[in-house]
Amino acid sequence: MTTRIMSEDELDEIRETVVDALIVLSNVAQGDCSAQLDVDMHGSNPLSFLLAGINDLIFALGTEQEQSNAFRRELDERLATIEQQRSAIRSLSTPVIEVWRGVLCLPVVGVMDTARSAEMTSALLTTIVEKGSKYAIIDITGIDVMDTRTVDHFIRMAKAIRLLGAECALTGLNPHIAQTVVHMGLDLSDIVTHRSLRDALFRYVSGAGVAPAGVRSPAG
Amino acid sequence: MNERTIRGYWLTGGVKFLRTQHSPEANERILGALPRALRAVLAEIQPAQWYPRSHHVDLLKAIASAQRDEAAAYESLLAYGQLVATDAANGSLRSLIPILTPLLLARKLPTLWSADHQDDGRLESDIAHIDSGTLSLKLVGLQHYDHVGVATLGWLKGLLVALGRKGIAIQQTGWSLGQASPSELQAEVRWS
Repeated sequence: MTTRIMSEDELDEIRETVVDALIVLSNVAQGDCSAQLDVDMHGSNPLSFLLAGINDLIFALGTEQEQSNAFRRELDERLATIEQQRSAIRSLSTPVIEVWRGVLCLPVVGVMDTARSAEMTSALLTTIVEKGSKYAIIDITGIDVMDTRTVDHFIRMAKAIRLLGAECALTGLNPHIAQTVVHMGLDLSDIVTHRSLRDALFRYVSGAGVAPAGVRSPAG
Repeated sequence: MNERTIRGYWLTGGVKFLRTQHSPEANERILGALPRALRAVLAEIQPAQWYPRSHHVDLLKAIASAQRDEAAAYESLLAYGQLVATDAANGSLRSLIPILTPLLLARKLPTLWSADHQDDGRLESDIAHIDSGTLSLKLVGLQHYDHVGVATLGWLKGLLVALGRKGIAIQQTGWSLGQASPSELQAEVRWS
């Protein structure tokens, strides 16, 4: 077996080919699979086969990348749809209604948690400022369970409303919730409460100075 | 005719360079003065993707105009190009650096140029005196591409530094603040 030592020119040629391959691969590494190496398959240089193999891999990677991008676009669109739906649900879960001039009503249905409480407070405060409202009624007829944390949310909400110079009332406490509040020693003394939304509406609509026609005292 | 383009990492490098050179307030002012089209894409630029050459021109002008005179603008553009090359040498070109020599680099300059600028302009190198540490360069076809020649010289300097060359000195003819995009820029790069 004879061993032939490569000439410096041959080594240079190999180095140059490797550099060419590395330049293309550096772009591939950054996500650009559009480049291909120049390959002369007519010669006997074994490097040509290696370069052709690299080209095949780059092509395959590019195809995968296109599919991956398509999936990502689809996922982005779905996430955008979910976010739109979430936003719609958020706005539906915190409907602040101006029931009379200067009187807002926020009916609460379902479970109160910190995030929802923050959204409700934000929506209510923003509307109070926008409309210049004097009264905010939070109706909890639709809440089944009241714990210390839920009460705390309402107390904080009421304090924030008072800071804006408006008055806050809680309505719709059912007997079960009233019992729970007393039983757990929860302090609701900072919040004005009314038995029903109707009571509160009569009180505040009259207080707003423009009693609606046909509205009579709940007692009368 | 296809739109002339540049690899994204030149743009991200430009923003990074401005951040390292100026106070946050000055940097905000400089970036705020960039055209809206460029500002709109800055946060989402991908290093290997292609972007309009005009974005690069806007950044190069911002780098140059933030300096008080021509000498300072020249040094700033050089430093910007060097930063882009240093980041590339530590990143995408990391595997290339160990095998590169100044001769191989000089031979591959046209390829490296095309890899970043496609067929926008041409970078030619003369390796006749490379053994004595001298490389002659010519940048042509870059009309209306303000300051890119000087930034390219800085980029070459950065690559030579990555190859361990020291005492790199650059002399150029063609560029000035008054003639920011000469039809031809010639340069001689020496190292020890």
